[in-house]
Amino acid sequence: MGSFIKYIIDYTEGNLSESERKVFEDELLHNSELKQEYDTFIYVNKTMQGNVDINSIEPELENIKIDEESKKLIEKYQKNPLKYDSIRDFVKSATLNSNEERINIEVNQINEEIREKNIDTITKKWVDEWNSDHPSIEINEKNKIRNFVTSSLEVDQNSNISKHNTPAITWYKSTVFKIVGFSVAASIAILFVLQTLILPTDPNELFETNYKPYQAITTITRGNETEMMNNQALMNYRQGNYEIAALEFDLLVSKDPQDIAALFFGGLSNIELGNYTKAIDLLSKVKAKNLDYTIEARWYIGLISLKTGDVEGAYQEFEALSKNPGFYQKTSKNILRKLKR
Amino acid sequence: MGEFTDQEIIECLRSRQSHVVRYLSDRYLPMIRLLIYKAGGTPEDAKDIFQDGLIIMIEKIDSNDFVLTCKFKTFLYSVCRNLWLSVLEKRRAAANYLNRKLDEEITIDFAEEYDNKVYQDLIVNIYESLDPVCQQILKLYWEEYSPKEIAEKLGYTYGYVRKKKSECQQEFINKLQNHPDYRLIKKTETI
Repeated sequence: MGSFIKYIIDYTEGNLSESERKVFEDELLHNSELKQEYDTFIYVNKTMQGNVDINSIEPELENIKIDEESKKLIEKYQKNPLKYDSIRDFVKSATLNSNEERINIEVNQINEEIREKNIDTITKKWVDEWNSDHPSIEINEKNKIRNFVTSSLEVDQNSNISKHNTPAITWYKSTVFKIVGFSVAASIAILFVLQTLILPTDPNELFETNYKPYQAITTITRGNETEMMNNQALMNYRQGNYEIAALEFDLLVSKDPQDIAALFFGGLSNIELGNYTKAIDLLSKVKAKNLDYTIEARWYIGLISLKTGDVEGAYQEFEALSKNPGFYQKTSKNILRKLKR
Repeated sequence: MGEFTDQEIIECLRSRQSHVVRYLSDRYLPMIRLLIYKAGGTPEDAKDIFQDGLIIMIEKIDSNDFVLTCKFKTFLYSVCRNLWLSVLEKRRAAANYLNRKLDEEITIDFAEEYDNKVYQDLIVNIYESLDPVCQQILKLYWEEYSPKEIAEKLGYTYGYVRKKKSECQQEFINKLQNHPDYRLIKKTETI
């Protein structure tokens, strides 16, 4: 309980960098504990702000004229509410700002169209065909289509294209699907699949596709000397000063060989410097402790193994991660598939 | 301090700029909620009263001879309070009527309304249990003073205010989350 508060405070006060903020927002979507704590924090602050507001206006509220004036306005409103329709429309549409509300309205509109045009009957038939043992679409064809969609989404994610596609990309995708028929799209999928079936994906290519530097989060508070050194090293890491960061983490580890964070981020700094042997050495120590950062350490050891051509070593790490429900499970399974294991 | 002055709010409402409505909702709906929950209202009541209050004010603001003689939030609160009182009167009258007309007892689940009030009270009580320095710093923070302004007002260093504020907020949340009433409320999932 309360473990995320420093993080939440930094986020709400704008103390995180652009990339840290994105990581936080992504984590907010997936981590229910963080979400609950964040919601509580916001609610508490809003409630207390409301309390302070009321206390500050109470002296003014004792002014009888304000009370009388507001009662007159309400009486006028209640006598002829239709007169306020255009203002009401303005206020209601302006307060409909949350994505959730907009999505709910859109979903209701979609449901209405589904009911009117009886679309459920048609799509149910499609789903039954897809799921049945003797489909009108062959199993191979289904797998090809599935792989096409999956690999397309992975390329989209890894190339950091915004999830809200740029208008140009959206136009392109929608135009392709309008012009090209379903069978042609399936043919394109076959080409991807053939390539996948005949040749395993190059381990180095897998590294390049999946590697992203780990986002370091730190709070900007002053503490003892070690804490300050740690913050300094993390700041250098975040700013891409990997040589300095690596040296600083080495110093921290020399002071305390059990410092898991220093071992982990030291390992990551060395990956960026291309010092893979040292990186694996440091990350393996993190993995051996089986405490904080163990999963992340396994992930990066797996990626380094791909980079250095140690496919067996990579397989071991991704196999373990594929069995662990969490952030890396799905991608690890994809990598294993591509390693043809 | 603050994002819009009262005059800016009036001008933006007159020219129907949506963003100011969202700002007002974000900024002042919490105080309306406090008002509503005290009398057993729901979050929907709070939202409705706030919107109706704002609608009433905009109609008045549209008139060229409108002059604000108090803080905008004061006027908004006064309108919402009187609106809420009129709603409560109508509900009481309706409840009395129903009680006379119906044979069986109507059971209404007040759990959500009760929990909202308990939750609000709990938050305020926990604030009052913090040390005086925390209370001072957090109060000024909620009054939208910057850490620098808070430091000047209270005679502390900027660094101390930032650190202390963070610690106070952590303490606040920890105390809240560890309170048995909080756990009960969260268990019922009404909030």
